[in-house]
Amino acid sequence: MSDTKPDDVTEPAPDDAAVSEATDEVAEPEPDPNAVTIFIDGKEVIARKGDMVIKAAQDAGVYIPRFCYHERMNPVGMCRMCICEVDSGRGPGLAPTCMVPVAPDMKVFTESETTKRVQEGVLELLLANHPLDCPVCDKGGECPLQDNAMTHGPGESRFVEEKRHYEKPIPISDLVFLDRERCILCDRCTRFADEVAGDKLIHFTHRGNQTQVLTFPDEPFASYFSGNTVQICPVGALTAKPYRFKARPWDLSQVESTCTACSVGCRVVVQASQDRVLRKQGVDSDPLNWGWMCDRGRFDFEAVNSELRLGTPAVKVDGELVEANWATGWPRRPS
Amino acid sequence: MSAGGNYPWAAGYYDDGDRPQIVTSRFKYEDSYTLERYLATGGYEGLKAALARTPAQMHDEVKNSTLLGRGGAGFPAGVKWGHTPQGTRPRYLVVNGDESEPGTYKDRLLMELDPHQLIEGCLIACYAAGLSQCFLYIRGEMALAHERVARALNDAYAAGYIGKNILGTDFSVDIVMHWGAGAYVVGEETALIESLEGERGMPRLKPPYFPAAIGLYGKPTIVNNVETLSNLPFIASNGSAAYTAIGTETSPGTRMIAVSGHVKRPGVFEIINGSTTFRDVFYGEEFCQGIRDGHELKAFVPGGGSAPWFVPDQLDLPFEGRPVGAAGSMLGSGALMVMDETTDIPKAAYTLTRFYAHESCGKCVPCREGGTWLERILARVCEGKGTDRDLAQLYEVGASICPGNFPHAASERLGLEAVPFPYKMTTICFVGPSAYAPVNSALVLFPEEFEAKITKRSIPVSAAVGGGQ
Repeated sequence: MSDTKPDDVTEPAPDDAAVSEATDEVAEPEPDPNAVTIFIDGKEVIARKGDMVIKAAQDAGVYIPRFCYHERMNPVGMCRMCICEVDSGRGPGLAPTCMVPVAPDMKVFTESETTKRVQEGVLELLLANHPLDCPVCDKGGECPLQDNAMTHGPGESRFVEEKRHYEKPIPISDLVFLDRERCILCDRCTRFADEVAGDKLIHFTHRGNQTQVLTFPDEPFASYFSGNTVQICPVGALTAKPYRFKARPWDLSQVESTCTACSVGCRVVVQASQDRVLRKQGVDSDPLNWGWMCDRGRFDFEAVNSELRLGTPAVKVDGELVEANWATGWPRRPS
Repeated sequence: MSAGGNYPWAAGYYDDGDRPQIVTSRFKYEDSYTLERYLATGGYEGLKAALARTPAQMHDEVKNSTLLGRGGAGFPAGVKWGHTPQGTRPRYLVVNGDESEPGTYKDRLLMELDPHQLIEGCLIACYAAGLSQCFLYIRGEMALAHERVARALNDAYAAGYIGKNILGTDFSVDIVMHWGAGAYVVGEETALIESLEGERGMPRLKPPYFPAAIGLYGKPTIVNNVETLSNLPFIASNGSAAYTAIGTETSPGTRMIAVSGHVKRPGVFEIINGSTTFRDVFYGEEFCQGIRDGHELKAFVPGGGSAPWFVPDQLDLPFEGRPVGAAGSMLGSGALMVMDETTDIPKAAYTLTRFYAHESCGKCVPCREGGTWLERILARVCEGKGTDRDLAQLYEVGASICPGNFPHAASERLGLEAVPFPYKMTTICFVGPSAYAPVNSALVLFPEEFEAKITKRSIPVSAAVGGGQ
């Protein structure tokens, strides 16, 4: 903002220009200092300076598969799914597009043979130890791993060894269950806990092939924002207790709404199946909640169907509450 | 004074006067690690000589010496120092003493036997590159090195070589020692910085996290290897001309190599850089004195466990980065592992791959899952339960970690042309490809040994073995 002001001041008034210049040229608009021209699959794309290639491609309508990348968190380059051939002037090389900022005349090849081979390789390796229990997984149907396996995967696995096994699932808090077999270690939940929520209660433990997300011993994942990790998990590793085995994603009907739990008014989507509210998810609203929600807002829908909820008024008769109707109850309200 | 100094196995290694000795000159003394011995043998003279110059002059001196980094990549140290943005403070020096490449144990000796030389090198580097604080990261397993460096630091502080206003000048620097927890990947500079910050030792992606720009605590940081810094006292006191007089123009000075395996006299040697050949090292009287009796050289690893293997065809290559790279491998950390004809090649590859699979930090998928997959296939093949499809699969998993051509050595026997180093990779650091390097070398150079272990066949072995190339 501030650096455009001086230009406005020094710009000659249009009348003066017309008088002094015989050619009557239309003043060319100042080139946008934040515009960077890159080429995605040969197509010229105007990207914004500082954007990562994966974001620039998405804005241009080219989807690069990803798991760890999340627009609202720092890129970490963990899953290697978004690797493409990128030519920054020194010949094509492999680069994780979630961590490479756009540069003038950069060429990105999202469909080249090498890119395809790399993405198929990464997906085959991701699925090598994944249990593939999609039919009983809550994420089945809305799972990025499923989607990317269909669109960018090799189609079959050559992994014949025994898969990695863990106890499944383990509760890491009152609300969240963790299935480490399904986990692809994308660092989304742990990054969320660190960067966004600010309470690092879950972290990677162990190393190499045995790396797993866990809480610290005897410390549950008691975060006010734990439900967000369930929403951003790209597989069915993190599931929330209120929604477990309640519905399949394709059965849900949904409506966008405003959370009523407090005065912030986060944008949410309320999802229901068979006339019962089953889940609330955050919606990415730029000025408001960026898709995040607190656990109170996310899980308060359980009150709607609660057996403890008062359905009718009650009146006190001899010190005991007796069920009544509004016609008899209203006049007897405490004034 | 005993001939072998602290190590009985090193008797006669460091006291022959013919070869130039820059960093191992004190190894022959039993008390080489004490301040008294260090001062009696020209210690801290380099620091005085450095302080007599301006920092820019000292920096130029190091640049002129073309001192190549000894950690593995072989990047000139003086040029590396120049990459830090000027005017940003604080700037740090981090000493990479997390030597953990299989077969490498030269830095451990430098820290155990001559810690003051390293400290003096750190001080000179801090002075020349304008760094205000030095962190000495020592690998978790090196207890003796830890003890001796700690003692040396205390002695040097007490004598006024470290701390405020060193030797009466206005140059001040602090050296902090940090004891690592023992992870191979922390030898990678960005992972080392993460570990030093108290995080999990996982590498950061370069760019943007080039340590010279965004390093320790987000500040410009120089990460140097122990051996690189140990060369600085010599350069400071004798000048760059004396340093470049040794070795070749592109690889001056000496370098330390660690030889292990089937040779008569394994150990750490200081050789003349650039001109010494692998043959000199393996068969030279002053070095390894030949392959153990009655046996012949079959293959050797020229630069640490992650380097592609060489066969006797490459014996006459010199210790110089470019020709070794063109021949399909790298000098790396200077670890030579020698295998004679009794070696079970698939098993040797399995041992190395198992190490890298175990040491994967778990960040990048190809390394985390691919390394273990390679290890499991190799384990099955070594047990004699593999099929020919397994051999083809090794290439396929490797191609998922390193797409495209993987470097390997030329072999007259097989009529192979060398594929030059380096390679493309899908991981952040070199741990992933390192798990594949020994497998690829073994499969390409000794396919018949894998064939001999295969009992079940569904397609012709030749097709399977050639399948990934």
